[in-house]
Amino acid sequence: MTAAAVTVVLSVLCFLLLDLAPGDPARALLEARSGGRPVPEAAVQAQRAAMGLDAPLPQRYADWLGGVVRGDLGASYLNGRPVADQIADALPWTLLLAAVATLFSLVGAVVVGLVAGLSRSATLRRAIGLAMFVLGGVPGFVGALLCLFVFSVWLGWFPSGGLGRPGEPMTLATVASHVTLPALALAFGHHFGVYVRLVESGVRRVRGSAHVAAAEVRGVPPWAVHTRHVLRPGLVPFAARFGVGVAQLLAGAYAIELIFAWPGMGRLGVEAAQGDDYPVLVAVVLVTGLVVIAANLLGDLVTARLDPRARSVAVAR
Amino acid sequence: MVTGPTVSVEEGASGPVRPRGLLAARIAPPGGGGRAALWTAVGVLVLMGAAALFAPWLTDMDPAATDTTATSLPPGTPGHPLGTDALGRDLYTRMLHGARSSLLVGLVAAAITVVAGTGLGALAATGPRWLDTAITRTADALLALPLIVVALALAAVAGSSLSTVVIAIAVTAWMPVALVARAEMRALRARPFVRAAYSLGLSRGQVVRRHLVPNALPPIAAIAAFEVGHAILTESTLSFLGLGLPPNQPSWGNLLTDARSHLLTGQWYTVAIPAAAIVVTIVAVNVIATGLDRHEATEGRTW
Repeated sequence: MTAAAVTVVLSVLCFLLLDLAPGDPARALLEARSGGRPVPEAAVQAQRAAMGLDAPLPQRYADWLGGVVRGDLGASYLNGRPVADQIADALPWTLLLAAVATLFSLVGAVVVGLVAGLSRSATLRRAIGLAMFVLGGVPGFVGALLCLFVFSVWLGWFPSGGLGRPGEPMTLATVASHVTLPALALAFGHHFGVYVRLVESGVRRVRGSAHVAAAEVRGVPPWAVHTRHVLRPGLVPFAARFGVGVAQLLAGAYAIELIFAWPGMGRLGVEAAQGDDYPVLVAVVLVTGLVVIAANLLGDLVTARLDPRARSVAVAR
Repeated sequence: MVTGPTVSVEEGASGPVRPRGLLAARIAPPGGGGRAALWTAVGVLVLMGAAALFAPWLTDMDPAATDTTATSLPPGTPGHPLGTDALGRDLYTRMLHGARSSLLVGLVAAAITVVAGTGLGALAATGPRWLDTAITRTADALLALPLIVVALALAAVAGSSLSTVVIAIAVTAWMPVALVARAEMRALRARPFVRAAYSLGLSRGQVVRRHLVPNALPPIAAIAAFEVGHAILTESTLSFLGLGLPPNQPSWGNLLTDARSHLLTGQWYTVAIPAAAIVVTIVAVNVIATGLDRHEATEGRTW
């Protein structure tokens, strides 16, 4: 239900952006075909009519939506390539980056949150809380520049960006070494603190419950109590935010892909925005939004797996 | 309803109301903070504000003037306290003028966000049901989207200028304010003094202006402070990506765009100084916002 509403709002937003953007798609198309020479006004008018650009707004929206559903996202203003092809080139790299970053931030948040939630040391808890609070004020691109400086320029552990040298075959090792630094910067961006706090508060709430005490009394080893009886129910609030977290990751990827010259959606979008290539820009917004909606649904499903009480709620939504 | 100081937003007519997304970032740090941190933050912001306000008097150099005889000087050079960049522009001057645009955008964008959000919240709380549904649904849907991407697209479509950036920030940031204002006003609407105001013949607009908005202000104030930090962060990100303020207008984000290439050649301070200014400002704003949040939760309720 929510996902459907979000999809509708997203599609309307994207269409309006494309519609309000300066420039005339008909003229751009004709000029691209004629190699940049000026095009007679009559031909532009005819092309406008042929493309349905003179139709009323709802009609244009329906036409555009129909095209999107069939996978037709238009052609780039800059190079005339189909936008869908460019997205298909960029999306896997962004998904790879986001997946590695999600893994990093999941592991990091669970470990730090568990330590903060289980520790009886007020100093440690306060230190973690303070560090996360400060982290909340660091914009993603500042963190990325810091990572770049420390690990690439100063320590020289990782390459500073790109995806290997052009012409060289791309091996798993080069991809792994190039993805690590941007994924680190993305994972420990300014929303990491929120995840840690969600895990921590979840763990803290569960720690005192009867089933934990019962497990301890039964003689279950501490690590098993912590993982099976504390962590699993304690992860519920974190899982409920998983979709929002992925949205933050994908949004943060924009600046980070630019800094690390990563050939993904973020760089495609920013370069399109800088070059006034609106079909590409809007397609990037649309596809990113759809990925986020899918991640939100996934988050609901994971929550339902972890917390059977939420299952009926998730179905009802 | 007899209420102590613990009445919270969640006691709205429609059960628990917890806005998602942006608000997730607004969990107070455990135990941290306190009065000293609050005053430090206020002091830092007053200093930043004074630097921005008196920038033309604190430096007599032009932030855009290049000097080919003094390029890439390190900090501490006589005449250039923070050094110069690769074009010989004085970094101290550019930081001061950058503070002007960054703080101005932050404050103006947050003000518009809060006014628009409160207005939409009031409309949703007192208007017809379909309007309420439309506003809350739109807000929820927007909160589920990657908003910096939407702001980026808006800024790109409308062309880069100060007002574009402000509008792009406001369009993508009004939702938490609207949802909190709506929840607060819905809770207020059922209270005797508001019903009395209606029965005395006050119009809906008068009730909203005199009774609902003033009483809903404490939680809105806390969110407003967070919105300032969020606006500064968004502006710096947009400017860094080349889609915020025009390049000839220094802002902290623009300074970082220029400095990015110097990171690899060893002039790390051209990156570190603007980056530190952004981080310190946002953290200070967040400290105050957290303080307001807590203050509001314990004392601010007067009814």
